[in-house]
Amino acid sequence: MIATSQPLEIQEIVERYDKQRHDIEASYMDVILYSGGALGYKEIMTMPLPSVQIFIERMNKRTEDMNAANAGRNR
Amino acid sequence: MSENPLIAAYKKPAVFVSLPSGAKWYDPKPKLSVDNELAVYPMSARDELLTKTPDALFNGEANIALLSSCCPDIVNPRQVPVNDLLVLLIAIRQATYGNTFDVDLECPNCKHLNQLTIDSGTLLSKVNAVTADQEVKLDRNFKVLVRPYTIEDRTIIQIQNIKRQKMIDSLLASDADEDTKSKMFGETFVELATLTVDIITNCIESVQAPESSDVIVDKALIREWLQNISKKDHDVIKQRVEDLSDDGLDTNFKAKCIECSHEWTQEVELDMSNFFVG
Repeated sequence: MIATSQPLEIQEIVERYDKQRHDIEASYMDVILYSGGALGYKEIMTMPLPSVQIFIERMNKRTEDMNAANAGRNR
Repeated sequence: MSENPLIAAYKKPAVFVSLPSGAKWYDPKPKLSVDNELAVYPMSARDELLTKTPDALFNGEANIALLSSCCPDIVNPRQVPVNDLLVLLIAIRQATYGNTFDVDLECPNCKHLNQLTIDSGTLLSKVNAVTADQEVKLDRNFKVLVRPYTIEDRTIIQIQNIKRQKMIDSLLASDADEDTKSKMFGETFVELATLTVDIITNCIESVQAPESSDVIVDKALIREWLQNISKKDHDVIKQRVEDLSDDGLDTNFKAKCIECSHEWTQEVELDMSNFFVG
């Protein structure tokens, strides 16, 4: 799209893409942080995205299970 | 960033796709499955970030990097015929995010913004092989063998068009006198004409003169000949290159407005900007 847009529109497109790129990279940083050291930056950058998706699902499930177990213990 | 060889070896193809070109015009030919389909792998996070990098999109490097990463059986992605590009991008999208994606369509009747869900599997299943004949016979019995534009050719044309438009805009807005403006306009169009000749030369594989058994493949000779032929012959050759470059994908979709129930058919422009979002 950027290649076929009129020059006046380009600045707006560039800004939108820069923001999207920043947000996507920030999401991956979150995954690294919440994985507790299971994944590093290089690994997540080279993993196929469907695998990243599965990893996030499993990580969320593990957190839910741990929260449920903690809640049961505190009851 | 160099990829860990263990991860590279572990990646597995998610989609196999038929190429409109039938893998013709590749050098070397890509490795295909027994039913002549190309394996397509999902994008990595790094690939995804590239699809959001304006400079890489503008200069075509995003396409090249994506093909290198997701279609590793294509050895030289810069020379991929342009008629395969959209099919490959759709297949990469499908391998990564699944079969469906949404595009926004404005109702021509009430201007309501509707969301149309497109099934990429259906799109890819309708891919037709290129049927245009590679051989062009000119009026004076010259036989010209042409091929489609490559991704690199198409990117050069697009960048040149933007530069030309920018130049025209700045000239129109400048305080320069009419003579200077017209001289600069002239130079711009000469540059564009030269580029067009270069690109069409790239797309000509050979020329055979009438009543001669010699097949000319030397690009310098072909370029010189191209500059001396009639506009009509040049247009015939260019049109055949355009026909061969067509991906044959039907991107016209029927839509119905959820607000006013108006029904219409609209061509949807599919590119990185509207379908590389998860």
